[in-house]
Amino acid sequence: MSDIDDHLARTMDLPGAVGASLVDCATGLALGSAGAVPGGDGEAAAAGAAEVLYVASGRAPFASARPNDAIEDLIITTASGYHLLRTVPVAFGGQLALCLWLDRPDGNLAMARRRLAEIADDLVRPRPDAPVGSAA
Amino acid sequence: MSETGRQPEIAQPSRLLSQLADAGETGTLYVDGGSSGTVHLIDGRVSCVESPAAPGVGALLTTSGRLAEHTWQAAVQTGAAGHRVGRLLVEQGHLMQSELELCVLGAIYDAAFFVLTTAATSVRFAPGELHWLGRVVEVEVGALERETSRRGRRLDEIFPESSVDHAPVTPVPTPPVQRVVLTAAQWELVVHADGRRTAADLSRLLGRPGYATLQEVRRLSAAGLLRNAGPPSSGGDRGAVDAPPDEGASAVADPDHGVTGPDPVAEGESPTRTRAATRREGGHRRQRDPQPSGPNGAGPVDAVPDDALLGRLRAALKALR
Amino acid sequence: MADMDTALKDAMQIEGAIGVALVDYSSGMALGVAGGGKDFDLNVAAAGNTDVVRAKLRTMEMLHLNEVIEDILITLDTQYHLIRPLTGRSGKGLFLYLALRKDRANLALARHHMRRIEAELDV
Repeated sequence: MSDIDDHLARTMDLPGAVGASLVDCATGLALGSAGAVPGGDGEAAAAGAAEVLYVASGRAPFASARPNDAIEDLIITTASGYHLLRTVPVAFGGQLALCLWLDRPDGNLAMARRRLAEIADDLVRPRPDAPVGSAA
Repeated sequence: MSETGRQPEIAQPSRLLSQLADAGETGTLYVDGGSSGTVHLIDGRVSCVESPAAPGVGALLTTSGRLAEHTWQAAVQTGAAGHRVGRLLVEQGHLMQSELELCVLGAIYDAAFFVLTTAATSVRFAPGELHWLGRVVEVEVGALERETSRRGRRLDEIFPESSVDHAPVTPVPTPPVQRVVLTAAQWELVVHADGRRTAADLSRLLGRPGYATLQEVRRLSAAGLLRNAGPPSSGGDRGAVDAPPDEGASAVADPDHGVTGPDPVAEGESPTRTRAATRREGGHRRQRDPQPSGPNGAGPVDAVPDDALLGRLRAALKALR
Repeated sequence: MADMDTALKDAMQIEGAIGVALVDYSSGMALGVAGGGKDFDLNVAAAGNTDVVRAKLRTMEMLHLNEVIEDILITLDTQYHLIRPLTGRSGKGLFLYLALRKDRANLALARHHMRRIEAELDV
Protein backbone atom coordinates (compact mmCIF):
# COMPACT_ATOMS: atom_id res chain seq x y z
CA MET A 1 0.00 0.00 0.00
CA SER A 2 1.41 3.34 -0.99
CA ASP A 3 1.57 6.38 1.21
CA ILE A 4 -0.99 8.06 -1.03
CA ASP A 5 -3.38 5.21 -0.32
CA ASP A 6 -2.81 5.64 3.40
CA HIS A 7 -3.88 9.26 3.20
CA LEU A 8 -6.95 8.34 1.18
CA ALA A 9 -7.82 5.68 3.71
CA ARG A 10 -7.80 8.40 6.37
CA THR A 11 -10.47 10.34 4.50
CA MET A 12 -12.58 7.20 4.40
CA ASP A 13 -12.60 7.14 8.20
CA LEU A 14 -14.81 10.22 8.20
CA PRO A 15 -18.46 9.54 9.06
CA GLY A 16 -20.53 9.30 5.90
CA ALA A 17 -17.51 8.97 3.58
CA VAL A 18 -18.51 7.17 0.39
CA GLY A 19 -15.39 7.50 -1.69
CA ALA A 20 -12.27 9.58 -2.10
CA SER A 21 -9.71 10.23 -4.78
CA LEU A 22 -6.64 12.29 -5.41
CA VAL A 23 -6.92 14.00 -8.76
CA ASP A 24 -4.38 15.70 -10.97
CA CYS A 25 -6.30 18.77 -12.04
CA ALA A 26 -4.34 19.44 -15.21
CA THR A 27 -5.03 16.04 -16.71
CA GLY A 28 -8.05 14.72 -14.83
CA LEU A 29 -6.16 11.60 -13.79
CA ALA A 30 -6.92 9.95 -10.45
CA LEU A 31 -3.54 9.29 -8.83
CA GLY A 32 -5.25 7.20 -6.22
CA SER A 33 -8.71 6.35 -4.97
CA ALA A 34 -10.56 4.65 -2.14
CA GLY A 35 -14.12 3.58 -1.54
CA ALA A 36 -16.82 3.95 -4.16
CA VAL A 37 -17.70 6.62 -6.67
CA PRO A 38 -21.31 7.67 -7.18
CA GLY A 39 -22.16 6.50 -10.68
CA GLY A 40 -19.41 3.92 -10.54
CA ASP A 41 -17.10 5.48 -13.09
CA GLY A 42 -14.02 6.64 -11.23
CA GLU A 43 -12.28 7.87 -14.35
CA ALA A 44 -15.16 10.10 -15.37
CA ALA A 45 -15.59 11.35 -11.82
CA ALA A 46 -11.93 12.33 -11.58
CA ALA A 47 -12.00 14.05 -14.93
CA GLY A 48 -15.17 15.85 -13.94
CA ALA A 49 -13.77 17.04 -10.64
CA ALA A 50 -10.68 18.32 -12.43
CA GLU A 51 -12.81 20.18 -14.93
CA VAL A 52 -14.92 21.84 -12.28
CA LEU A 53 -11.83 23.05 -10.46
CA TYR A 54 -10.14 24.07 -13.67
CA VAL A 55 -13.12 26.15 -14.64
CA ALA A 56 -13.48 27.60 -11.16
CA SER A 57 -9.84 28.58 -10.84
CA GLY A 58 -9.07 29.44 -14.42
CA ARG A 59 -12.13 30.82 -16.06
CA ALA A 60 -14.24 32.26 -13.35
CA PRO A 61 -13.15 35.88 -13.25
CA PHE A 62 -13.56 36.08 -9.50
CA ALA A 63 -10.37 34.09 -9.23
CA SER A 64 -8.49 37.12 -10.41
CA ALA A 65 -10.43 39.67 -8.41
CA ARG A 66 -7.50 39.69 -6.06
CA PRO A 67 -3.94 38.66 -6.72
CA ASN A 68 -2.95 35.34 -5.18
CA ASP A 69 -6.47 34.58 -4.10
CA ALA A 70 -6.31 30.88 -4.79
CA ILE A 71 -9.07 28.35 -4.32
CA GLU A 72 -8.89 26.40 -1.08
CA ASP A 73 -11.88 24.20 -1.62
CA LEU A 74 -15.09 23.79 -3.53
CA ILE A 75 -18.11 22.02 -2.11
CA ILE A 76 -21.14 20.90 -4.06
CA THR A 77 -24.22 20.04 -2.09
CA THR A 78 -26.92 17.86 -3.60
CA ALA A 79 -29.98 16.26 -2.03
CA SER A 80 -28.12 13.04 -1.28
CA GLY A 81 -24.62 14.17 -0.52
CA TYR A 82 -21.68 16.52 -0.51
CA HIS A 83 -18.84 16.51 -2.97
CA LEU A 84 -15.78 18.19 -1.49
CA LEU A 85 -12.83 19.19 -3.65
CA ARG A 86 -9.82 20.37 -1.69
CA THR A 87 -6.77 21.77 -3.44
CA VAL A 88 -3.46 20.23 -2.39
CA PRO A 89 -0.61 22.73 -2.08
CA VAL A 90 1.90 20.67 -4.03
CA ALA A 91 5.11 22.42 -5.04
CA PHE A 92 5.77 20.65 -8.31
CA GLY A 93 4.05 19.39 -11.40
CA GLY A 94 0.75 21.23 -11.13
CA GLN A 95 -2.44 21.41 -9.16
CA LEU A 96 -3.82 18.39 -7.29
CA ALA A 97 -7.14 18.03 -5.54
CA LEU A 98 -8.28 15.71 -2.82
CA CYS A 99 -11.90 14.78 -3.54
CA LEU A 100 -14.37 13.29 -1.15
CA TRP A 101 -17.95 12.14 -1.62
CA LEU A 102 -19.89 12.40 1.58
CA ASP A 103 -23.26 10.92 2.31
CA ARG A 104 -25.78 13.61 3.28
CA PRO A 105 -27.52 11.92 6.24
CA ASP A 106 -24.35 10.60 7.88
CA GLY A 107 -21.84 13.17 6.78
CA ASN A 108 -20.72 16.09 8.89
CA LEU A 109 -19.76 18.75 6.39
CA ALA A 110 -17.97 21.09 8.75
CA MET A 111 -15.89 18.31 10.23
CA ALA A 112 -15.16 16.70 6.89
CA ARG A 113 -14.00 20.03 5.53
CA ARG A 114 -11.52 20.47 8.39
CA ARG A 115 -10.18 16.95 8.16
CA LEU A 116 -9.85 17.09 4.41
CA ALA A 117 -7.82 20.29 4.71
CA GLU A 118 -5.55 18.56 7.21
CA ILE A 119 -5.07 15.47 5.11
CA ALA A 120 -4.39 17.52 1.97
CA ASP A 121 -1.72 19.38 3.89
CA ASP A 122 -0.22 16.20 5.29
CA LEU A 123 0.22 14.85 1.78
CA VAL A 124 2.77 17.47 0.85
CA ARG A 125 3.89 19.26 3.97
CA PRO A 126 6.08 17.73 6.62
CA ARG A 127 4.47 18.00 10.01
CA PRO A 128 6.62 20.00 12.39
CA ASP A 129 6.61 17.16 14.90
CA ALA A 130 7.39 14.47 12.34
CA PRO A 131 10.68 12.70 12.90
CA VAL A 132 13.07 13.44 10.08
CA GLY A 133 14.76 10.63 8.24
CA SER A 134 12.82 7.82 9.80
CA ALA A 135 10.72 6.87 6.80
CA ALA A 136 10.78 3.67 4.78
CA MET B 1 15.15 -11.38 -24.57
CA SER B 2 12.74 -9.77 -27.02
CA GLU B 3 14.82 -7.88 -29.49
CA THR B 4 12.95 -6.35 -32.37
CA GLY B 5 14.36 -4.60 -35.38
CA ARG B 6 12.55 -1.91 -37.34
CA GLN B 7 8.97 -1.75 -36.26
CA PRO B 8 7.24 1.15 -37.94
CA GLU B 9 3.82 0.45 -36.44
CA ILE B 10 2.60 2.81 -33.76
CA ALA B 11 1.22 0.03 -31.64
CA GLN B 12 4.53 -1.73 -31.33
CA PRO B 13 5.84 -0.37 -28.01
CA SER B 14 2.45 -1.05 -26.47
CA ARG B 15 2.26 -4.61 -27.68
CA LEU B 16 5.71 -5.52 -26.45
CA LEU B 17 5.07 -3.74 -23.20
CA SER B 18 1.92 -5.75 -22.59
CA GLN B 19 3.78 -8.96 -23.26
CA LEU B 20 6.51 -7.97 -20.84
CA ALA B 21 3.94 -7.06 -18.22
CA ASP B 22 2.14 -10.37 -18.63
CA ALA B 23 5.42 -12.19 -18.25
CA GLY B 24 6.21 -10.24 -15.07
CA GLU B 25 9.49 -9.03 -16.52
CA THR B 26 11.98 -6.68 -14.88
CA GLY B 27 14.09 -4.45 -17.07
CA THR B 28 14.13 -1.47 -19.37
CA LEU B 29 12.27 -1.03 -22.65
CA TYR B 30 14.01 1.33 -25.06
CA VAL B 31 11.74 2.97 -27.59
CA ASP B 32 13.24 4.88 -30.50
CA GLY B 33 11.42 6.87 -33.09
CA GLY B 34 9.47 10.13 -33.35
CA SER B 35 9.76 10.68 -29.63
CA SER B 36 12.06 8.20 -27.99
CA GLY B 37 12.09 7.17 -24.38
CA THR B 38 12.38 4.37 -21.88
CA VAL B 39 9.89 2.35 -19.87
CA HIS B 40 11.20 0.66 -16.74
CA LEU B 41 9.53 -2.43 -15.42
CA ILE B 42 9.77 -4.20 -12.10
CA ASP B 43 7.99 -7.54 -11.94
CA GLY B 44 5.84 -6.60 -14.89
CA ARG B 45 4.75 -3.24 -13.48
CA VAL B 46 5.92 0.16 -14.56
CA SER B 47 8.20 1.87 -12.06
CA CYS B 48 9.41 4.71 -14.24
CA VAL B 49 9.01 6.17 -17.73
CA GLU B 50 11.24 8.76 -19.29
CA SER B 51 10.91 10.89 -22.39
CA PRO B 52 12.73 14.00 -23.57
CA ALA B 53 9.30 15.56 -24.07
CA ALA B 54 8.43 15.30 -20.37
CA PRO B 55 10.42 16.70 -17.44
CA GLY B 56 11.65 13.89 -15.21
CA VAL B 57 11.38 13.59 -11.45
CA GLY B 58 14.59 15.53 -10.87
CA ALA B 59 13.60 18.36 -13.16
CA LEU B 60 10.17 18.66 -11.55
CA LEU B 61 11.59 18.74 -8.05
CA THR B 62 14.40 21.17 -8.77
CA THR B 63 12.78 23.62 -11.21
CA SER B 64 9.89 24.02 -8.78
CA GLY B 65 12.38 24.80 -6.05
CA ARG B 66 11.12 21.91 -3.95
CA LEU B 67 14.63 20.46 -3.82
CA ALA B 68 17.91 22.30 -4.12
CA GLU B 69 19.94 21.07 -7.03
CA HIS B 70 22.82 20.03 -4.85
CA THR B 71 20.45 17.95 -2.74
CA TRP B 72 19.18 16.17 -5.82
CA GLN B 73 22.69 15.74 -7.16
CA ALA B 74 23.96 14.29 -3.91
CA ALA B 75 21.14 11.77 -3.76
CA VAL B 76 21.77 10.75 -7.35
CA GLN B 77 25.49 10.35 -6.75
CA THR B 78 25.01 8.31 -3.63
CA GLY B 79 21.97 6.31 -4.62
CA ALA B 80 22.11 5.75 -8.38
CA ALA B 81 24.36 2.72 -8.29
CA GLY B 82 22.13 0.98 -5.76
CA HIS B 83 18.91 2.05 -7.56
CA ARG B 84 17.67 3.83 -4.49
CA VAL B 85 17.75 7.57 -5.24
CA GLY B 86 14.08 7.91 -4.32
CA ARG B 87 14.37 6.07 -1.05
CA LEU B 88 17.43 8.05 -0.12
CA LEU B 89 15.65 11.38 -0.53
CA VAL B 90 12.91 10.22 1.82
CA GLU B 91 15.26 8.60 4.32
CA GLN B 92 17.33 11.74 4.53
CA GLY B 93 14.21 13.79 5.19
CA HIS B 94 14.35 15.87 2.02
CA LEU B 95 11.00 14.67 0.76
CA MET B 96 8.00 12.98 2.24
CA GLN B 97 7.13 9.58 0.88
CA SER B 98 3.75 10.85 -0.36
CA GLU B 99 5.38 13.73 -2.23
CA LEU B 100 7.82 11.41 -3.92
CA GLU B 101 5.02 9.07 -4.92
CA LEU B 102 2.98 11.93 -6.35
CA CYS B 103 5.93 13.23 -8.28
CA VAL B 104 6.92 9.85 -9.71
CA LEU B 105 3.33 8.90 -10.58
CA GLY B 106 2.81 12.17 -12.39
CA ALA B 107 6.10 11.78 -14.26
CA ILE B 108 5.28 8.20 -15.29
CA TYR B 109 1.94 9.07 -16.87
CA ASP B 110 3.36 12.21 -18.40
CA ALA B 111 6.28 10.53 -20.13
CA ALA B 112 4.18 7.51 -21.08
CA PHE B 113 1.94 9.72 -23.15
CA PHE B 114 4.87 10.54 -25.41
CA VAL B 115 6.63 7.19 -25.40
CA LEU B 116 3.54 5.07 -26.00
CA THR B 117 2.05 7.26 -28.72
CA THR B 118 5.22 7.61 -30.70
CA ALA B 119 5.66 6.10 -34.14
CA ALA B 120 8.46 3.84 -32.99
CA THR B 121 11.18 2.77 -35.34
CA SER B 122 12.76 0.35 -32.92
CA VAL B 123 11.88 -1.20 -29.60
CA ARG B 124 14.42 -3.05 -27.50
CA PHE B 125 14.16 -4.64 -24.08
CA ALA B 126 17.10 -4.93 -21.72
CA PRO B 127 16.17 -7.51 -19.10
CA GLY B 128 17.28 -6.91 -15.57
CA GLU B 129 18.28 -3.31 -16.17
CA LEU B 130 16.94 -1.23 -13.29
CA HIS B 131 16.33 2.50 -13.10
CA TRP B 132 18.44 4.50 -10.67
CA LEU B 133 15.37 5.96 -9.01
CA GLY B 134 14.34 2.59 -7.62
CA ARG B 135 10.89 1.29 -6.77
CA VAL B 136 8.71 4.14 -5.57
CA VAL B 137 5.34 3.41 -7.12
CA GLU B 138 4.03 0.80 -9.53
CA VAL B 139 1.59 1.36 -12.33
CA GLU B 140 -0.14 -1.38 -14.29
CA VAL B 141 0.65 -1.31 -17.98
CA GLY B 142 -3.07 -1.48 -18.76
CA ALA B 143 -3.80 1.61 -16.69
CA LEU B 144 -0.99 3.45 -18.46
CA GLU B 145 -2.35 2.50 -21.87
CA ARG B 146 -5.89 3.57 -20.99
CA GLU B 147 -4.79 6.90 -19.62
CA THR B 148 -2.55 7.52 -22.61
CA SER B 149 -5.39 7.02 -25.06
CA ARG B 150 -7.74 9.11 -22.94
CA ARG B 151 -5.21 11.93 -23.04
CA GLY B 152 -4.91 11.67 -26.78
CA ARG B 153 -8.67 11.92 -27.20
CA ARG B 154 -8.82 14.82 -24.82
CA LEU B 155 -6.25 16.83 -26.76
CA ASP B 156 -8.26 16.44 -29.92
CA GLU B 157 -11.44 17.43 -28.12
CA ILE B 158 -9.77 20.65 -27.10
CA PHE B 159 -8.41 21.44 -30.53
CA PRO B 160 -8.16 18.84 -33.27
CA GLU B 161 -4.91 20.10 -34.72
CA SER B 162 -1.74 18.34 -33.68
CA SER B 163 0.68 20.54 -35.61
CA VAL B 164 0.94 22.94 -32.66
CA ASP B 165 2.21 20.08 -30.49
CA HIS B 166 5.61 20.00 -32.12
CA ALA B 167 6.06 23.35 -33.84
CA PRO B 168 7.46 26.51 -32.33
CA VAL B 169 4.57 28.62 -31.12
CA THR B 170 4.05 32.34 -30.82
CA PRO B 171 1.27 34.56 -29.47
CA VAL B 172 -0.92 36.21 -32.09
CA PRO B 173 -0.20 39.95 -32.29
CA THR B 174 -3.87 40.84 -31.86
CA PRO B 175 -6.27 38.69 -29.87
CA PRO B 176 -9.33 37.63 -31.85
CA VAL B 177 -11.64 38.70 -29.05
CA GLN B 178 -12.20 41.81 -26.97
CA ARG B 179 -11.54 40.30 -23.61
CA VAL B 180 -9.14 37.57 -22.62
CA VAL B 181 -8.83 35.77 -19.30
CA LEU B 182 -5.86 33.47 -18.81
CA THR B 183 -4.83 31.16 -16.00
CA ALA B 184 -1.42 31.72 -14.47
CA ALA B 185 -0.13 28.67 -16.31
CA GLN B 186 -1.42 29.98 -19.63
CA TRP B 187 0.06 33.38 -19.01
CA GLU B 188 3.48 31.87 -18.43
CA LEU B 189 3.21 29.97 -21.68
CA VAL B 190 2.16 33.01 -23.68
CA VAL B 191 4.95 35.08 -22.18
CA HIS B 192 7.59 32.47 -22.95
CA ALA B 193 6.33 31.41 -26.36
CA ASP B 194 8.87 33.29 -28.44
CA GLY B 195 8.31 31.73 -31.84
CA ARG B 196 11.32 29.45 -31.40
CA ARG B 197 10.22 27.28 -28.49
CA THR B 198 8.01 24.26 -28.95
CA ALA B 199 5.63 22.88 -26.34
CA ALA B 200 8.37 20.50 -25.18
CA ASP B 201 10.84 23.40 -24.85
CA LEU B 202 8.31 25.38 -22.83
CA SER B 203 7.61 22.47 -20.56
CA ARG B 204 11.31 22.06 -19.82
CA LEU B 205 11.81 25.77 -19.36
CA LEU B 206 8.95 26.10 -16.90
CA GLY B 207 9.38 22.69 -15.23
CA ARG B 208 5.80 21.88 -16.15
CA PRO B 209 4.62 18.41 -17.17
CA GLY B 210 4.79 17.82 -20.91
CA TYR B 211 1.21 16.74 -21.46
CA ALA B 212 -0.24 19.58 -19.39
CA THR B 213 1.78 21.98 -21.50
CA LEU B 214 0.48 20.44 -24.73
CA GLN B 215 -3.00 20.77 -23.40
CA GLU B 216 -2.62 24.46 -22.64
CA VAL B 217 -0.96 25.07 -25.99
CA ARG B 218 -3.94 23.48 -27.70
CA ARG B 219 -6.38 25.47 -25.55
CA LEU B 220 -4.60 28.71 -26.36
CA SER B 221 -4.52 27.73 -30.02
CA ALA B 222 -8.22 26.92 -29.94
CA ALA B 223 -8.86 30.35 -28.48
CA GLY B 224 -6.83 31.87 -31.30
CA LEU B 225 -4.26 33.33 -28.92
CA LEU B 226 -1.28 31.18 -29.82
CA ARG B 227 -0.27 30.01 -33.25
CA ASN B 228 2.18 27.78 -34.98
CA ALA B 229 5.16 30.06 -35.58
CA GLY B 230 5.95 28.16 -38.78
CA PRO B 231 7.81 27.35 -40.93
CA PRO B 232 6.22 24.11 -39.87
CA SER B 233 9.04 21.95 -38.72
CA SER B 234 7.17 19.09 -37.25
CA GLY B 235 4.25 16.76 -37.44
CA GLY B 236 2.06 14.86 -35.06
CA ASP B 237 2.34 11.17 -34.39
CA ARG B 238 -1.34 11.14 -33.71
CA GLY B 239 -3.60 11.92 -36.59
CA ALA B 240 -6.06 14.65 -35.82
CA VAL B 241 -9.41 13.16 -34.99
CA ASP B 242 -12.34 15.05 -36.34
CA ALA B 243 -13.90 15.93 -33.03
CA PRO B 244 -15.49 19.28 -32.32
CA PRO B 245 -13.46 21.45 -29.97
CA ASP B 246 -14.86 21.51 -26.47
CA GLU B 247 -16.50 24.86 -26.06
CA GLY B 248 -15.82 24.75 -22.35
CA ALA B 249 -12.14 24.20 -22.76
CA SER B 250 -10.96 27.44 -24.28
CA ALA B 251 -9.96 30.55 -22.43
CA VAL B 252 -12.74 32.88 -21.48
CA ALA B 253 -13.44 35.39 -24.13
CA ASP B 254 -16.19 37.71 -23.18
CA PRO B 255 -17.17 40.29 -25.74
CA ASP B 256 -20.10 41.50 -23.66
CA HIS B 257 -17.89 43.21 -21.17
CA GLY B 258 -15.12 44.13 -23.44
CA VAL B 259 -14.93 47.85 -22.81
CA THR B 260 -11.40 47.61 -21.55
CA GLY B 261 -9.96 45.80 -24.50
CA PRO B 262 -7.50 42.96 -24.12
CA ASP B 263 -7.19 42.30 -20.46
CA PRO B 264 -5.10 39.30 -19.67
CA VAL B 265 -5.33 38.46 -16.02
CA ALA B 266 -2.92 36.16 -14.31
CA GLU B 267 -2.91 34.84 -10.83
CA GLY B 268 0.20 35.54 -8.84
CA GLU B 269 3.37 34.45 -10.49
CA SER B 270 5.38 32.72 -7.86
CA PRO B 271 9.04 33.50 -7.37
CA THR B 272 9.90 29.83 -7.69
CA ARG B 273 8.49 29.79 -11.16
CA THR B 274 10.51 32.78 -12.18
CA ARG B 275 13.57 31.19 -10.73
CA ALA B 276 12.68 27.99 -12.46
CA ALA B 277 12.77 29.70 -15.80
CA THR B 278 16.31 30.90 -15.34
CA ARG B 279 17.56 27.58 -14.11
CA ARG B 280 16.10 25.24 -16.59
CA GLU B 281 19.29 24.19 -18.28
CA GLY B 282 20.88 22.94 -15.11
CA GLY B 283 17.76 21.29 -13.80
CA HIS B 284 17.03 19.49 -16.97
CA ARG B 285 20.48 18.27 -17.75
CA ARG B 286 21.16 17.09 -14.27
CA GLN B 287 17.98 15.17 -14.30
CA ARG B 288 19.20 13.17 -17.20
CA ASP B 289 22.78 12.78 -16.10
CA PRO B 290 22.49 9.65 -14.04
CA GLN B 291 20.74 7.77 -16.74
CA PRO B 292 23.50 5.78 -18.37
CA SER B 293 21.94 5.14 -21.74
CA GLY B 294 18.85 7.27 -21.69
CA PRO B 295 17.36 9.20 -24.55
CA ASN B 296 19.24 12.33 -25.38
CA GLY B 297 17.43 14.76 -27.59
CA ALA B 298 14.13 14.41 -29.31
CA GLY B 299 13.83 12.40 -32.44
CA PRO B 300 13.55 13.87 -35.88
CA VAL B 301 10.51 15.92 -36.66
CA ASP B 302 8.59 15.70 -39.88
CA ALA B 303 6.66 18.28 -41.79
CA VAL B 304 2.99 19.09 -41.66
CA PRO B 305 1.37 21.86 -43.69
CA ASP B 306 -0.04 24.76 -41.72
CA ASP B 307 -3.71 24.08 -42.21
CA ALA B 308 -4.53 24.98 -38.64
CA LEU B 309 -5.85 28.38 -39.61
CA LEU B 310 -9.34 27.22 -40.40
CA GLY B 311 -9.59 25.32 -37.15
CA ARG B 312 -8.33 28.30 -35.19
CA LEU B 313 -10.80 30.63 -36.79
CA ARG B 314 -13.61 28.23 -36.11
CA ALA B 315 -12.56 27.88 -32.49
CA ALA B 316 -12.16 31.63 -32.09
CA LEU B 317 -15.63 32.23 -33.50
CA LYS B 318 -16.98 29.61 -31.17
CA ALA B 319 -15.28 31.31 -28.26
CA LEU B 320 -17.19 34.45 -29.13
CA ARG B 321 -20.38 32.50 -28.46
CA MET C 1 -42.83 35.86 -1.64
CA ALA C 2 -40.20 38.45 -2.54
CA ASP C 3 -39.28 39.94 -5.91
CA MET C 4 -35.77 39.98 -7.28
CA ASP C 5 -34.75 43.41 -6.01
CA THR C 6 -35.94 42.63 -2.52
CA ALA C 7 -34.08 39.32 -2.56
CA LEU C 8 -30.86 40.94 -3.77
CA LYS C 9 -31.12 43.68 -1.19
CA ASP C 10 -31.83 41.07 1.43
CA ALA C 11 -28.75 39.07 0.43
CA MET C 12 -26.57 42.17 0.70
CA GLN C 13 -27.58 42.37 4.37
CA ILE C 14 -25.75 39.11 5.01
CA GLU C 15 -22.69 39.82 7.12
CA GLY C 16 -19.58 40.14 4.93
CA ALA C 17 -21.48 40.36 1.62
CA ILE C 18 -19.46 41.87 -1.22
CA GLY C 19 -21.96 41.43 -4.00
CA VAL C 20 -24.87 39.35 -5.13
CA ALA C 21 -26.37 38.49 -8.50
CA LEU C 22 -29.26 36.56 -9.95
CA VAL C 23 -27.88 34.75 -12.98
CA ASP C 24 -29.37 32.92 -15.94
CA TYR C 25 -27.04 30.01 -16.56
CA SER C 26 -28.21 29.34 -20.06
CA SER C 27 -26.74 32.68 -21.11
CA GLY C 28 -24.41 33.57 -18.25
CA MET C 29 -26.09 36.95 -17.99
CA ALA C 30 -27.13 38.52 -14.72
CA LEU C 31 -30.79 39.45 -14.39
CA GLY C 32 -29.95 41.67 -11.50
CA VAL C 33 -26.99 42.61 -9.30
CA ALA C 34 -26.40 44.38 -6.02
CA GLY C 35 -23.13 45.41 -4.41
CA GLY C 36 -19.89 44.77 -6.23
CA GLY C 37 -17.49 47.59 -6.95
CA LYS C 38 -14.73 48.70 -9.22
CA ASP C 39 -12.57 45.68 -8.39
CA PHE C 40 -15.45 43.34 -8.56
CA ASP C 41 -17.55 43.28 -11.69
CA LEU C 42 -20.55 41.16 -10.81
CA ASN C 43 -21.59 40.73 -14.42
CA VAL C 44 -18.23 39.19 -15.20
CA ALA C 45 -18.33 37.04 -12.07
CA ALA C 46 -21.81 35.88 -13.04
CA ALA C 47 -20.56 34.68 -16.39
CA GLY C 48 -17.62 32.90 -14.77
CA ASN C 49 -19.78 31.17 -12.22
CA THR C 50 -22.08 30.03 -14.96
CA ASP C 51 -19.16 28.04 -16.34
CA VAL C 52 -18.61 26.41 -12.95
CA VAL C 53 -22.25 25.39 -12.70
CA ARG C 54 -22.23 24.09 -16.26
CA ALA C 55 -19.04 22.10 -15.69
CA LYS C 56 -20.55 20.47 -12.63
CA LEU C 57 -23.81 19.70 -14.43
CA ARG C 58 -21.86 18.18 -17.31
CA THR C 59 -19.95 15.97 -14.89
CA MET C 60 -23.09 14.82 -13.14
CA GLU C 61 -24.66 14.06 -16.48
CA MET C 62 -21.58 12.07 -17.48
CA LEU C 63 -21.85 10.06 -14.29
CA HIS C 64 -25.59 9.58 -14.88
CA LEU C 65 -26.34 11.15 -11.55
CA ASN C 66 -29.89 12.36 -11.56
CA GLU C 67 -29.26 14.87 -8.89
CA VAL C 68 -30.03 18.49 -8.36
CA ILE C 69 -27.34 20.85 -7.16
CA GLU C 70 -28.43 22.49 -3.96
CA ASP C 71 -25.49 24.82 -3.68
CA ILE C 72 -21.85 25.21 -4.61
CA LEU C 73 -19.45 26.81 -2.19
CA ILE C 74 -16.06 27.99 -3.33
CA THR C 75 -13.55 29.04 -0.70
CA LEU C 76 -10.71 31.28 -1.77
CA ASP C 77 -7.95 32.57 0.47
CA THR C 78 -9.94 35.71 1.27
CA GLN C 79 -13.45 35.15 -0.04
CA TYR C 80 -16.37 32.76 -0.13
CA HIS C 81 -18.45 32.38 -3.23
CA LEU C 82 -21.83 30.79 -2.85
CA ILE C 83 -23.90 29.62 -5.80
CA ARG C 84 -27.46 28.52 -5.24
CA PRO C 85 -29.62 27.31 -8.13
CA LEU C 86 -33.29 28.26 -7.81
CA THR C 87 -35.70 25.44 -7.26
CA GLY C 88 -39.10 27.02 -7.94
CA ARG C 89 -40.72 26.69 -11.34
CA SER C 90 -40.31 30.38 -12.13
CA GLY C 91 -36.66 30.19 -11.21
CA LYS C 92 -35.72 27.35 -13.52
CA GLY C 93 -32.30 27.90 -15.08
CA LEU C 94 -31.39 30.63 -12.62
CA PHE C 95 -28.99 30.76 -9.72
CA LEU C 96 -28.25 33.18 -6.94
CA TYR C 97 -24.63 34.07 -6.54
CA LEU C 98 -23.19 35.66 -3.43
CA ALA C 99 -19.60 36.74 -2.78
CA LEU C 100 -18.53 37.16 0.83
CA ARG C 101 -15.50 38.46 2.66
CA LYS C 102 -14.02 35.53 4.48
CA ASP C 103 -12.85 37.56 7.46
CA ARG C 104 -16.32 39.00 8.02
CA ALA C 105 -18.68 36.24 7.02
CA ASN C 106 -20.26 33.46 9.00
CA LEU C 107 -20.44 30.72 6.43
CA ALA C 108 -23.07 28.54 8.07
CA LEU C 109 -25.32 31.51 8.66
CA ALA C 110 -24.79 32.83 5.15
CA ARG C 111 -25.75 29.48 3.62
CA HIS C 112 -28.83 29.40 5.81
CA HIS C 113 -29.84 32.93 4.74
CA MET C 114 -29.34 32.12 1.11
CA ARG C 115 -31.55 29.07 1.44
CA ARG C 116 -34.30 31.23 2.89
CA ILE C 117 -33.91 34.00 0.33
CA GLU C 118 -34.00 31.47 -2.48
CA ALA C 119 -37.13 29.80 -1.10
CA GLU C 120 -38.97 33.11 -0.89
CA LEU C 121 -37.81 34.46 -4.21
CA ASP C 122 -40.39 34.70 -6.95
CA VAL C 123 -39.00 35.82 -10.27
